[in-house]
Amino acid sequence: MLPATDSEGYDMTGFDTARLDDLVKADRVHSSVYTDPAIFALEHKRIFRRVWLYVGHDSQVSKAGDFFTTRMGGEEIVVTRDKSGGIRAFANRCTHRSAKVCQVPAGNAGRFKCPYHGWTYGLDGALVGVPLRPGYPDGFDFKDPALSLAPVPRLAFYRGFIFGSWAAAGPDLLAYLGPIKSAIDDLVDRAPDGAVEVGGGVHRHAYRGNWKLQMENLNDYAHPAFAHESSITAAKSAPRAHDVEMRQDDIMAANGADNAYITNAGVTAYPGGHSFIGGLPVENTASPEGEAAYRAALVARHGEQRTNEILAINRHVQIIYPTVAFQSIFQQIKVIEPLAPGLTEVTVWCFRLKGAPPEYHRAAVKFVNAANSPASLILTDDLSIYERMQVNMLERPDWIMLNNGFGRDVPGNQGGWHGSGYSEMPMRNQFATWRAYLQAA
Amino acid sequence: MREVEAFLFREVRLLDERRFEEWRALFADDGIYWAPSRPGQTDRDHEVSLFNDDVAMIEARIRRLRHPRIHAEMPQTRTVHALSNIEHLAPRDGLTLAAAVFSMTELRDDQQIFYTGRCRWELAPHGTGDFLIKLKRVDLLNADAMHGIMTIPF
Repeated sequence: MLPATDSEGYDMTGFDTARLDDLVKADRVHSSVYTDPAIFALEHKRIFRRVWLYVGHDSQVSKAGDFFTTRMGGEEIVVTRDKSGGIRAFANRCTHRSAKVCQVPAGNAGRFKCPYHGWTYGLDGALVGVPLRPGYPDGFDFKDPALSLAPVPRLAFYRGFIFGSWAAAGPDLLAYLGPIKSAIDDLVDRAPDGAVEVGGGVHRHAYRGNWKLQMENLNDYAHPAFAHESSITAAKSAPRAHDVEMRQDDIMAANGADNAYITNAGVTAYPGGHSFIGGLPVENTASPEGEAAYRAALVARHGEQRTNEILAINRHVQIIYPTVAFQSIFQQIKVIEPLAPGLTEVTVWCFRLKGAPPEYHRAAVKFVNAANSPASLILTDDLSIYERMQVNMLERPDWIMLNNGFGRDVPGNQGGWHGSGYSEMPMRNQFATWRAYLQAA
Repeated sequence: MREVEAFLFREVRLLDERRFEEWRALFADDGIYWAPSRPGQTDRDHEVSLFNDDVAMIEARIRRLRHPRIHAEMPQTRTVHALSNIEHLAPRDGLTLAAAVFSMTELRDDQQIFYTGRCRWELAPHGTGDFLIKLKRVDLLNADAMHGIMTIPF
């Protein structure tokens, strides 16, 4: 059931945001924040139509005329590389009668011609052609910018990664990211040529649960020993020695790291809902020769000391709230898009480190398959658990406890907090940000 | 032809009967079970796949399917595999090549889910009238679509 709409398309008149003080406590939240359609609509308006959202990577539009479609904040957009080399993004909606002007996920084109009545737009989204002009009223201005494809008002770029915001004003991208921009550095710095590119395809899945369940899970070290017990056991009982390249069961076994390890791995959270968890004990992914070649290439670019610093970073999952998580050490990112209170779409992208030996790419592909294929021995347990949580939260509304580590978190550097690996502080941090966003008029 | 058909029918029936270890035994030790992530995919090392299992990974998958706390299999799923349009392709490198249209209907959490597509097998001779699978490739009709949970091979 959709709420009645206001001039911007959403009606909050029936929802008093002061109520959020009752639903979001310091150490718990009420389950209705995952299920209530009015709250979902409010999230859409005050989070997903305002904040910086992950859009894509510039390697997806490397040449003039390249384009791809993706979802951003509840609607489909087209991202293009225009003739002057700039990256543009706009709603995939013809300003004539609302047809989609682009029907394919990616390609190269000089213009977008609406399939319905032939209105035609340039790579910058401007309306450049309208058939049957004599029939339009005198004074109808085909050059009116309002007839351009609706642009994403703000696009920003950081080291090749494209972010967009549907709000015309707000903090710039770097201010928004704050210290968590290190998640992106952690990926790009690992490339000997100083750049990464999308490579290796995507995994796509959907689950019948709220988007926040996924964002919580990404920094939840208390669950693997239980949720993933079956794959931990399957991997640890492997009869054969591991190959040189990272085997798909390495990450499954690593999920079974002992309590002392996980406690020390720690969680670090920053203002804005961003956070990361320390790395798992996953073995080096490369052959000795491959590792030597990779290291030499990094040293040639960065020198010995900087190379050591880059390779010493071991963070497992780094969340840029609210839509993307970087697993930089494994060259993958996970992007979420809420579709309904109880339906979420997830896309997992694999990246190639430019200048790294091919075996690094093969290892990344193996990791992505192991962790995020719809047939993953790991992911499938999480998804089945989320779906049953969503059912329970509808059938028996009650408190969701997020109090592991509560009162024990300590201030970290860069304005954040630090806690044990088992702390539920990343979830508390997400909800503090979430409530602030929803209560900001 | 009849021997190949019998082998293929038995292969998918073993999955329906959850005789996973016997299913694994149909694979050569260097055998591969592959379900690409998109139509026309040619590379399984540098591009992601739904399944890209060598025998060690197949065995890990089976050990997990046997684990008492595999949450994605509670309640246990049921499947019915069907093969049709079985064709012999020209043999290559001493291997018997076969192709078929398949369906797998899965009961998962009270919902019946339908998968369909095309399979190809590369089979090595193994004694009289028997084979070992060097490669089973499964091209789902919806390989590149948004997926739900998958636990049982196609």
